[in-house]
Amino acid sequence: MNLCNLEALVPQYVRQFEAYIPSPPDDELQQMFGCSRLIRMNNNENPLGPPPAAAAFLQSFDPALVSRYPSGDCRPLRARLADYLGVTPSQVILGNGANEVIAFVIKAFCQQGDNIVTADRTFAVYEWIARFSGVDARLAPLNDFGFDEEGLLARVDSRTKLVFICNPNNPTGTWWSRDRLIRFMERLGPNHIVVLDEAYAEFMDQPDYPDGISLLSRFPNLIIFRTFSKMYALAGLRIGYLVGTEQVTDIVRKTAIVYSVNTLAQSAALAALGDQTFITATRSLVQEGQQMLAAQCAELKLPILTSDCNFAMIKLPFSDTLAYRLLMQQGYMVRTMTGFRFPGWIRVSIAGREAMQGFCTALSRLVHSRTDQSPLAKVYGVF
Amino acid sequence: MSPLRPPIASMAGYVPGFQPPDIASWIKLNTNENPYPPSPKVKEAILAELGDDAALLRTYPSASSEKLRQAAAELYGFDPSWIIMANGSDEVLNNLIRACAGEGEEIAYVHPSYSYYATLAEIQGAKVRTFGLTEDFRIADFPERYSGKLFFLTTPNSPLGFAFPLAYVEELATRCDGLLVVDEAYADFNDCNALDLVRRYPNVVVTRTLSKSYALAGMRLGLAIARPEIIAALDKIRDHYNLDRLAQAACVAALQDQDYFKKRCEQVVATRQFFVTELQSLGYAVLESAGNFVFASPPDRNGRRVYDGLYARKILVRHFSDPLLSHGLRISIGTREEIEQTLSALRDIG
Repeated sequence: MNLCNLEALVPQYVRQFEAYIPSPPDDELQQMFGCSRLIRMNNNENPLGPPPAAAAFLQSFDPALVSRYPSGDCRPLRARLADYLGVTPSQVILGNGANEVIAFVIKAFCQQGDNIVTADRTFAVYEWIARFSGVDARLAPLNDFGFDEEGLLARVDSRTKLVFICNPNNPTGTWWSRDRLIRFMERLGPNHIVVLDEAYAEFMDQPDYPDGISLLSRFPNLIIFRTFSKMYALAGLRIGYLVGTEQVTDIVRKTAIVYSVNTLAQSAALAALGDQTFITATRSLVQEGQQMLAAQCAELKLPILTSDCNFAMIKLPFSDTLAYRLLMQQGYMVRTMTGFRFPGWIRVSIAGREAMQGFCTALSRLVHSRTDQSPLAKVYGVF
Repeated sequence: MSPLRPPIASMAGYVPGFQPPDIASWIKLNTNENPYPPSPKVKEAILAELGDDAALLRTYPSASSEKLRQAAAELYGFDPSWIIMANGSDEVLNNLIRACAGEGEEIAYVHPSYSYYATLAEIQGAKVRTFGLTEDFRIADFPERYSGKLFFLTTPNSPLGFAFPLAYVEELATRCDGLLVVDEAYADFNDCNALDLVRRYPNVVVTRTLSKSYALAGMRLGLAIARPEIIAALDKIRDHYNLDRLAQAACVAALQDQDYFKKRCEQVVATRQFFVTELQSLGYAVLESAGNFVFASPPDRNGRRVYDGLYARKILVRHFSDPLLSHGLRISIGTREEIEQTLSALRDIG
């Protein structure tokens, strides 16, 4: 019996795709880097933990519930979201995390030979899913760390089905104002779908930050992505969704995988939605953390990109992979940005106050150790 | 609206089955769920994962599902590199199609079986071929060599309940140029399975779900077992956070509580045998079933009439309008009590 020929079986665009390598579990990392505890500041997770109502529901869940299938199309959650967002339930489609929702949209609109357009330094999953689906991903360089209208438009052609705008952008935190978004939509015209990824929308506290959903009536070719992973601190449960006009969601629903959000996730999201006390508390924690980071970076003369989001990017005068290693030894895990086409930068998620203070100290020690020319520092280092 | 012409424009899409809003007051025998709760260890594991304040949920789950793979590997006797965990077996069925069938390439499945293969293939833009069944439950007109990328074989079959003999599954493996995907969603209720074929044939993939035998339909858990090179291809195109924290905790606990699992499977099988005998005494034609459901036809071969009668009595079963199946009903095995109530309703309906 011959070994089956995977070369023949698997299309080239899948074979060429490289697997994402997740980071090892905490205990392995701690051993690897010799730190006694590890604070993850690499995934933009909300340090407060989920809203109390979500936690309370889960802690008293009835096990008999989980032997039944969940609502296949998340009916109760969609109804609640629709009410909250001022749309109809059929305008909302849920997925097992926003990543799954990205796949629904790409599968709905693109076939081989089509392309998507997005920025070169943004959330990478748009590009990944396009590539392993045999769809070309055209990447416009950021301009001054923000999505570049001209660069995006220059890459759009008749085979462009989707334009992905991450607003605010992960990892830079930059965002388009309402006027700027409207101008882009008008220049692009109605022949392409624009996906506005608003994963961090709930953190934004700026008067001219656009609520994409409010623009749907004017631009029916808009799709808005949201998630429960960031503001609502439910990354561990994988719940994302999109909102569009019914014309669009009627199409996307055909490629949506039903039953993909489990029972407990649906109910927890329903309980969490709209907790304004929680949102206010998170926003002020993030604001405080951003201010601490900004002050520390000013003192160390490091360029920093801050925003309302729960992450910031910091430019170091040395390699980001080295910084990663040395910060890990002090128990802080950040995201290196070389792989995201930002060599020398790290992305830091905003953690709780104590963790932020600890991180600022660690950053300061790190920078001094790399720039201090005193012979003693050279000999002993600081670690 | 833009004149977009998506390739899926002509697709019907999959519409989840109707569920009465007051489902708790029904006897629900329409989706082959387990009538029992999952192992008590599942709740313990979920509560342990939640801790005092559910704080861990703020963080992403394990991307590699390492502990689940390890538990499944020990249970099924494979190295973890032969196993991939999935958000319900639907996810791994979908990724098999994504990984192996490009646009316009062919996959096949048996009709009647699980029509969601066709939906998933249409989403991918793959071509779908269906093979019928002969009267003695073999694949009708299966070619000497089948050159499609994937052939999905549901065994035990749903909705009919029969299982293909292993020797026949093995023969099909030798006749497939692409992968033979043996969908064993119901295998835990049967007395044999195709796991050994995975070891012996490089093109055999077995998929399993925890929705049926492990009573975890609500948690969306499935897996596939295949050669490491196939698993690696599936692994790289899945969403890296495909399984959430609570599902991962539930999965490990369920797979490790084999005593509970076996006891519940035995209960379901015993109730199935009782139900078959009783249905036959009512004059129903019942196919021998290797699953947690039976396919049965009333003496007048009017499945719809009986479906409506049961529906009026708040008992929900499955009727298929397909002319091949409309004469009968697929009825999931509930608790002994639920099945006795169903039998008395059937006597009443006549």
